[in-house]
Amino acid sequence: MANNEDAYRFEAGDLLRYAILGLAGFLSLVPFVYMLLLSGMSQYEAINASTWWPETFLIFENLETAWAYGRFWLYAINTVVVTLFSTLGQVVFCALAGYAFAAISFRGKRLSFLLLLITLMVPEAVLITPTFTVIKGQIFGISVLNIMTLMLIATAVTLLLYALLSVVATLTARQILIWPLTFAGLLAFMGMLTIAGVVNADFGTVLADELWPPKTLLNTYQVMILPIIGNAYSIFLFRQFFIQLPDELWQAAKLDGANHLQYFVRVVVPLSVPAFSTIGVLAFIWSWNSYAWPILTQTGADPNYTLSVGLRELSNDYISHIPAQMAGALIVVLPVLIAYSIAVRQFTDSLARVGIK
Amino acid sequence: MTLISRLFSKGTIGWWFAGPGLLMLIMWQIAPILIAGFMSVHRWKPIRDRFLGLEHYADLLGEWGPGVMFFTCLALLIGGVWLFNQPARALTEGFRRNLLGGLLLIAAAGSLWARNFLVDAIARFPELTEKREIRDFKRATFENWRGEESEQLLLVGGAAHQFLLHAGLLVALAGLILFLPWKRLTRWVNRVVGLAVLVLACSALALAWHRMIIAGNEDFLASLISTLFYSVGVVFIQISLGLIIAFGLYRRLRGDGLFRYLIFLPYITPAVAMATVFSVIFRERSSGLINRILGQLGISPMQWLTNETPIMQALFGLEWVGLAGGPTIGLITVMMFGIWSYTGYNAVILLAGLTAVPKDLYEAAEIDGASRWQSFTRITFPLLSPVIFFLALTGLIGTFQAFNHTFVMFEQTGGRNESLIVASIFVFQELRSGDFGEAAAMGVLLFFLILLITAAQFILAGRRLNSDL
Repeated sequence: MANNEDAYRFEAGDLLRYAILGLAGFLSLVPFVYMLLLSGMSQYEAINASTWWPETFLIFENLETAWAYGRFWLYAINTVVVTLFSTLGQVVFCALAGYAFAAISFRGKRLSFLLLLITLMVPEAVLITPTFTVIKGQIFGISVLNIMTLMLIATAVTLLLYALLSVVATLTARQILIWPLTFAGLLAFMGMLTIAGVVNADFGTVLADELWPPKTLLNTYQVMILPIIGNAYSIFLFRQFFIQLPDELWQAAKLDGANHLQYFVRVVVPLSVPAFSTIGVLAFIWSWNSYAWPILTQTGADPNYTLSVGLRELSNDYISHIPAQMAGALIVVLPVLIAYSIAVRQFTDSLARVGIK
Repeated sequence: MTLISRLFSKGTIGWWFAGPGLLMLIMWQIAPILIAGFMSVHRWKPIRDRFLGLEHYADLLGEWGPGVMFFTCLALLIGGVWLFNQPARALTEGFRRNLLGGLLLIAAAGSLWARNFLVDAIARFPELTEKREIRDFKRATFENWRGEESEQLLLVGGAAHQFLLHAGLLVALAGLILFLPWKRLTRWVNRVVGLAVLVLACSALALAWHRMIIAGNEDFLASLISTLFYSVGVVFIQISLGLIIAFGLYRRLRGDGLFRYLIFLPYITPAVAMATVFSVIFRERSSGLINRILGQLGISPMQWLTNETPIMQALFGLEWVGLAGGPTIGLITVMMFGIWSYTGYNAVILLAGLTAVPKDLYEAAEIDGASRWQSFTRITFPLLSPVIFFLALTGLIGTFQAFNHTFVMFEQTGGRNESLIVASIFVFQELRSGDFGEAAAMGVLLFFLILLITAAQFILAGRRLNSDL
């Protein structure tokens, strides 16, 4: 690839380009640097108009204040649970739907795709009221939602087991009975949960409250997970990726006797790692950022807030303690920053590829 | 066996793949719209009560006339621009029909105008109310009046809108007389009718809005104005800046990977955390970063987030309110955050659009002696317009639902700066106060607005697009 076009030659216009990029990069970075600086200061230094630089860097003290005061342990665990399951669910189900829209022709495809595009336009302010009423059990019984949750879990576990076994089969180059093993795994998973619930009564209660709350979904984890699993934007992104795969691949796989699921798991998924990491990171960020919904639905005496809401509580109570606030913000930002830094290359490239389509 | 094979046959396998995802979408994003419609026609505080009909909507938009007129005029506006843009020959066959339709519209808008004129006249000349018919009309019209303040508003607003209306009509008339090639009227009928519809829709829109503010839910309408300022401002500026940055990234430079990393960084960072940081940066004490920088330049520290001064007043000292006054400085601060966090995304997408423009076009233009600027306006911009359209569309929808950072910054002001209450915050507060029915009605209205905006963008930009988006 090292031809003449790729070799860098300086041009007069590059000075301007560097100036633009330098300014933009600098402005992007300033709030982060300022956040770091402030979270290393003492309160006195932070409100003093003449200090630019902290005398001793107190970042760990401030992190500790934020962590301890904001009950961040609890919030961190909540956030991890919510983020993990919603990201996983979103990636699995949106990838499947995206594949269907990209590669399979079925009745009502155009109509449902139209539905998808309409969904892209619906603002959250429209949805928040009726959704809140639904999860309070005022529109239809909560058991509908509970059955849906269980079905989703079962489907996701089955698919993940199936994918895992396919990978094992490919790696070891052996014929194994994938479907029977998958169902055995599903049964084992359910059995394990049951046994754990019976042995440890606390765990059993938590599990039962979570998976089958009788009257309302308020104060559960699933209320924060379920509504964000189906995401039109993710389905659309996945479709844009899968549509670019050459049709010859599918024809070849069909000749070898593969069905859509086998083709999807063994060919499409390995070829679309950038797509999965991009949408995975996006889903992670969306779930990590969710704010209004946790505030609204976690109403009990001991709310299961996420970190973002924890930061709000910290800001409200420590209204003038700037270093603690900044340390809290740092805690919220850092994991996302790490996830982004890992996936950065694929991220910008694949988003760009979708945007021009 | 046949059942299973039929369940997994060629025709149904797509549904097995798409089913779970679609089901979740329908469940949480499509059905709620219908449920919102259902809730909005009931008293629902916080559980379902009696059927109310369209009372919530009437509460929000004031009376029926202005509300319906407002949405009709928005649609008319779009239709006017569309008609204006039609090629001369395209509609000449049905030209009588067009003319008739146009005249009907003009008559409709005109009658509304006359009605409003009467209202304004009553407000301005109280002695007219001696007559009985007018007194009754006034009573029927001003049932929802809220005292002195709105009375003044009516006067000011009425005067302004009438000025607008008359100016618009005069300009249209002058245009008709001066520029119309009377002999070839048939070829220009689209333009004429389009223009007439446009002018009348604009004036009727202004009048309807003015009536809505008097009789409807003032705070809700104010939040719509805030949202409008926020959306249009942020989308316009972030696309422009994104274009400049994309130009910077277009050529492969040394270290452009680092720049790309940095520029895209704001888009992915949690808005809640960074909005907290921004409120600290823009805090009103002299120790806030921005105020310190201003201090170094010799400017005295000023309020940012908590500042409720409209921009027109802050810059030019004009004491205009509402739509004419522009966004407040507090809202502009929030907009700065929006621009900061989304410009990088726009730049990356625009960059992809730029690289998709074939290079030989530029070379050909250079041979033909085109300047840089000419090749930008004649080649780059037209070929980039589908991407810009995509960004404007998704950007407007996205900014319409901007909640997280706006809410954080609003709370950082202690909830004092009401100009920061955009529509989504307003709905959220209404929901928390327990009036679900009204909150649902607001949501439905917002949805219609977004639909109209989207339709407008498709209709207005559709002709110039060479893409099947």
